[in-house]
Amino acid sequence: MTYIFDPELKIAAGFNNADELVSVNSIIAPGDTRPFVAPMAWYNFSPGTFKICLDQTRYISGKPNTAFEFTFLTKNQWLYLSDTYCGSGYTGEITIRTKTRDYSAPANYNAIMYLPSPAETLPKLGRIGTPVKVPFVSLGAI
Amino acid sequence: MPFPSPLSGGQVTSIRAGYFSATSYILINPVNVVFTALVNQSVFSSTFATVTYDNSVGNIADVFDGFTVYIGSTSDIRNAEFVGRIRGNNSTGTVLNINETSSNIQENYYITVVKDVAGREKLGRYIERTQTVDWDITFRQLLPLVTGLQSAYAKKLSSGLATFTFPAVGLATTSGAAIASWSWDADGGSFVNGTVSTDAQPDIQYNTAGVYWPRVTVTDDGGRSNWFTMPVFVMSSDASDAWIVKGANALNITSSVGVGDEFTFDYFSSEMATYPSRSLITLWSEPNYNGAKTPIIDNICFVGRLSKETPKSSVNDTSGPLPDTSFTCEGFLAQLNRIRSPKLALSRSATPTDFGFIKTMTQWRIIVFVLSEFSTFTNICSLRFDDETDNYQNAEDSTEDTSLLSAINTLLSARISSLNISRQGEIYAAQNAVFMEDGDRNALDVIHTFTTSDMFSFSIDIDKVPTVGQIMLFGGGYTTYNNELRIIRAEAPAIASLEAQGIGSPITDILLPTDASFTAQSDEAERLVANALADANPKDTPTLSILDGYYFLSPTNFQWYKIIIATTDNNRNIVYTSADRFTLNSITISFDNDNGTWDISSFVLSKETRGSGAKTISQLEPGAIEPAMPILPTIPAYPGFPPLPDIFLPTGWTSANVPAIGSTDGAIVISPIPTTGLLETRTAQGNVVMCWDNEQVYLTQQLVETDVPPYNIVFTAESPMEVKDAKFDPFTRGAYVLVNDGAGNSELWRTADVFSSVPEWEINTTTLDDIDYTTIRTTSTPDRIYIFGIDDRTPDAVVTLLGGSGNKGLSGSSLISPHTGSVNQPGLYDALNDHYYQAAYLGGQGVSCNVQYTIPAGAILDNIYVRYQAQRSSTGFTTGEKTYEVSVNGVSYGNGTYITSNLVQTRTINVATPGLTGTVLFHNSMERSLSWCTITNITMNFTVTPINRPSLRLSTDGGDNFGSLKGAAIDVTSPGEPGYATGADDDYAYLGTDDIITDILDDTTVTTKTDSDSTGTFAKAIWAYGKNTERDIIFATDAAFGGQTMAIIEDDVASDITPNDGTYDGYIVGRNALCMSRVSDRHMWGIFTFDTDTNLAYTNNSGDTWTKSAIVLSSDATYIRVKSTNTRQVYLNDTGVIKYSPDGGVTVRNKSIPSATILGLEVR
Repeated sequence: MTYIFDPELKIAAGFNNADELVSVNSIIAPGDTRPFVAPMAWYNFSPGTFKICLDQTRYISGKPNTAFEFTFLTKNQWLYLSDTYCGSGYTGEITIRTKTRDYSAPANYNAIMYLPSPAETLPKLGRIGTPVKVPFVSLGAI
Repeated sequence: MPFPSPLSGGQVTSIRAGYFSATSYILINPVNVVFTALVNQSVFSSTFATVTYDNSVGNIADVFDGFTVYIGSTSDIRNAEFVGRIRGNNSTGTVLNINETSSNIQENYYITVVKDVAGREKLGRYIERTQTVDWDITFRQLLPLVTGLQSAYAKKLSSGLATFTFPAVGLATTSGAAIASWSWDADGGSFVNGTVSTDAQPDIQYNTAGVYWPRVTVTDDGGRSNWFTMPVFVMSSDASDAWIVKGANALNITSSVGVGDEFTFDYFSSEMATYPSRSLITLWSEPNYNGAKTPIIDNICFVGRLSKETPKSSVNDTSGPLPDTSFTCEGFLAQLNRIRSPKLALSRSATPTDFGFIKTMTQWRIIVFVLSEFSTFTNICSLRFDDETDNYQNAEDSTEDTSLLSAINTLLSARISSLNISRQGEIYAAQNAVFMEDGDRNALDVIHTFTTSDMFSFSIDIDKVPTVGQIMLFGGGYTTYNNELRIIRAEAPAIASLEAQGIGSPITDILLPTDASFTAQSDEAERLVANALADANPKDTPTLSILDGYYFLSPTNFQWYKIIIATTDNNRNIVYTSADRFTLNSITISFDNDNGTWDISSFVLSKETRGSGAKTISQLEPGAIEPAMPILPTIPAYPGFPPLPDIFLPTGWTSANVPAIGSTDGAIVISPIPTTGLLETRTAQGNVVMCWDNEQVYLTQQLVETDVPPYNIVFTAESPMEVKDAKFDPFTRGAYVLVNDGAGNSELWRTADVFSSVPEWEINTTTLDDIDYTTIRTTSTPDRIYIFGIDDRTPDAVVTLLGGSGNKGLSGSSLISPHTGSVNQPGLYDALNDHYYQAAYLGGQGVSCNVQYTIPAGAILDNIYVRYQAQRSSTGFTTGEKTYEVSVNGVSYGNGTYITSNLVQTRTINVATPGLTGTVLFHNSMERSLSWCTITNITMNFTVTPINRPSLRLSTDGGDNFGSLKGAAIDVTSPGEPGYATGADDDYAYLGTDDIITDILDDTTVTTKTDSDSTGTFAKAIWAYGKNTERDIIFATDAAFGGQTMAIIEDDVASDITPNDGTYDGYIVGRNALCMSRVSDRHMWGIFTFDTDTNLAYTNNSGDTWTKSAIVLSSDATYIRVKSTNTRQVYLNDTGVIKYSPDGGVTVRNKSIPSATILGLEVR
């Protein structure tokens, strides 16, 4: 698989906060010396769950979701995401600028971030080759 | 709306519309402190049910009955030693009444009263031989109840306001009492919409976000009063309030009849730590059905209390443990199970004066008594019963020393009833539906009929091995004529020994109606026993995986559901029809964070059973000798298997050939599945093609797999009707067929299952216009279809004669009067009978008269005949004296000097302008007193132009009924052979003609598209699709460049697209040859003529570039269809064959067709 790093992916705390979007790979977490690696996103986009009824009626259930996938994430960066966007918890309302399947056109969305819990993430932090995927759900274009 | 009501067709349509999402929030009652103080130990009360205080903060008047009170050594209520309730409103300036406690309350402990009312216990005790309850309240007659309300309400502020309607209903529980008055405290809200605080069902409005606890007090005519309160969550418009938890994870609701709800969720934030245990939790979920917020249900999905938190992980080596917690919340029935029910004897008394005595001690009053005297649940949960009459009266009864829930369920078992709990908190005690009489069963609501349109999958748990057993009924209570309650017993039937089978159980302590005769009670006992036996037998318990949109359904035993399953829907040949009814046992739904949906992971129903044939063996008063029970032989649980029917055997086998199980009589060789003689064949992939000729519609499901596909004739038109179009119903297994007879008679037929071996067709009930409809278009909305046709009828023309005038004899004459008359078209209008002018002895200035007329649109006045006679004098005609003139519109059409016979003037006048008024003037200039004249006849000859314009009609119910004819506003001189399309939002229909494309929202909004090139013409083939929320994009063929090229029309502005790009100029798009894939709006297929060959071509970029396939078609190839789930599967109707390409035109297979002339095809 060829990964495509995208430096244009941006994030801001709170809904409808496009004015404060900052590029993810420009952020340096407290205690770190280097910024986040540019995450990968577009291929994580899902328009919702595709279901087929018994009568073959197609049914798209739910709202779009996507994820930023960091090929490398430090412990400080995980804490930064929790503190900045999730109120020191694991979920939070954010605004993101990301790309969908039409990866030539970034757009802004309100989304809910689900930071993966420490139990599943800590073994991956600070290690190359153990990417961390941060899901964003309930995407709503703004 | 506490329990779901039967879903309307519109609601079901909305749910099935193909898109659902939800926004779910957890609303937590915030810690709203209304009063604080310190315990004043120096005057500590000698009782445990009061506490004195000092150093108070807050107004004691704000402390209401039922509020939660915390008393602890610190001010942190989460560590309080005592958590209870305020008891009554009679707290004074120094003493708070609280519920009884054995907690060690000490001096200067912190007292905190919070605005929160929970279901809590009331304890009873004996004081000097008088039993009291709730410490010091002696027995009183049953208090009235407030029902009909939810246990929580929630709404977002809209324009700064949130208005709630509270449909409170009073239940006077004391025998003979009636509700007398109401009183509401709005807790800061305003009474609006003309309602006042003394109404039972006021509208209360709040204008500030917050959590309110309005309270209603009801009083009966005996002066007994009771109250009810519930939280009202008023959310800010962006739901940004601190007490709203958003983004919680793993939301799960499980509900079962008799058990109630449990709600669990994960939340990883320290804010949860700010809430005390047993905080009130309300789950609010806002559904979004197909883009619209359809008000199907109240948004409250759960009301309960935090009961448990379970840490899941605490891994973080830099900042210490992090909250990673799973929370469990209990619904009301689970809370009820925590309340102790003292053992208590109940007695009847005509005038109860002591605790435990109830007048008219019916089952429901006992439950009210037990629940309201030992708990406060009736103050926060609406409680009602399916039978609030005096019919089911108990004998002396008692409650066990168990939980309140257990005690109540024991009482309810006397009528085989149980507690049902709604998502919003209403408790309904109802008899299990399968024990009701047929009439009562049929009166129950059918909430919904599930079909394959609702289901993703299903499984059916069924054990066909019949149970045999014995059901006995012990103890029916009835009242004798002197109001003496006596016990009867019944036992039935005995078909096998209970011990032998180990199955079947008696139903005991059954209440029978006291107002019925002994015989009627016997019949009811038989019915109950028969139904109990039937219910004990194995029955189908389907588990459905259904659309997320049904997430609000509650398990109940007093509501029906239905399931429609055909044999073709499953491989076990199970059939459920609308005659089969089910109750919903349990449901488990989980909120899918990724998609924002409610996944219904478990939806378990139980099929209705109905017993019959049971016989009551005995029905005796106590003390009578019991008859011996007949013991029947035990039936083996697993009887021998019947012989296999031959249909399951390999070819050439019979049952006799089947070796016994375990036999070593040679190896069994299974022959191939026979290819002939099968009633029905079907493919798993379902490459289904429907095609038709004039007479019949054919269906095949094997066009891909075999070169000789089997066709089934699914529809045959009755002469003189001919098939014109057919479409699959995209939402069901059904199909539509449109036929007409070419003489203005059209019929739309519909079948619910075109895949059935013998489809059943229904004709639309609307009498269609005299139009030969030719085209069906389905839309993205179920049952919303258009039919199109050319309206070529000849309209009725109306000639309007405006009257006449003349200067002699005729002017103002009553012989000339305004007249309007209809004429048959084309034909003659004979004015003789209406206007017969006879003027005698006209004046010396001669005579003239005129008749004005108007001709409507569509009619052409060919000619006018005027016949008249003129005479110079009564003595005879005189030659050459004077002239007569006839003119039409100022043009003279002859005159003469002498007339010996009728003068006939003939002139053809083309009337191009509707409403033209013409004048016929007759003038006689003979000398006065010497002449007379008579107009004997004015005749107008008409022809009428047919309307000849595209027209359509819309049906929103699948063709049962059609709306009014549309298209009257389309003025098309020569529509030729139009193309038709429907827009993505279903409100627009498009007509493409030789000249224009017109979209029709309704006849008042008709927009004509204009072409951008010089030719300004469009051809007939069009296709439209939606562009998100914007207007539709329309593809159309264009008559420019000497052929028909492509144009794209977006937002009413057209522009040419390839192949008119200089490279492929001149490709001719075949008529009716456009087709769009619905999977990708960028894909489109067309039939083009490249030089001399006609080829298939496609674009995958909305027409910017085109690719020509190698498939050469005949010049009259029509009807491209693309399988919607695979844009590369292309089907074409060509001369004598159906062409199928699995790879987008690279390869092609010719498939035989069922008829010499196939006119069209559809693919599913």
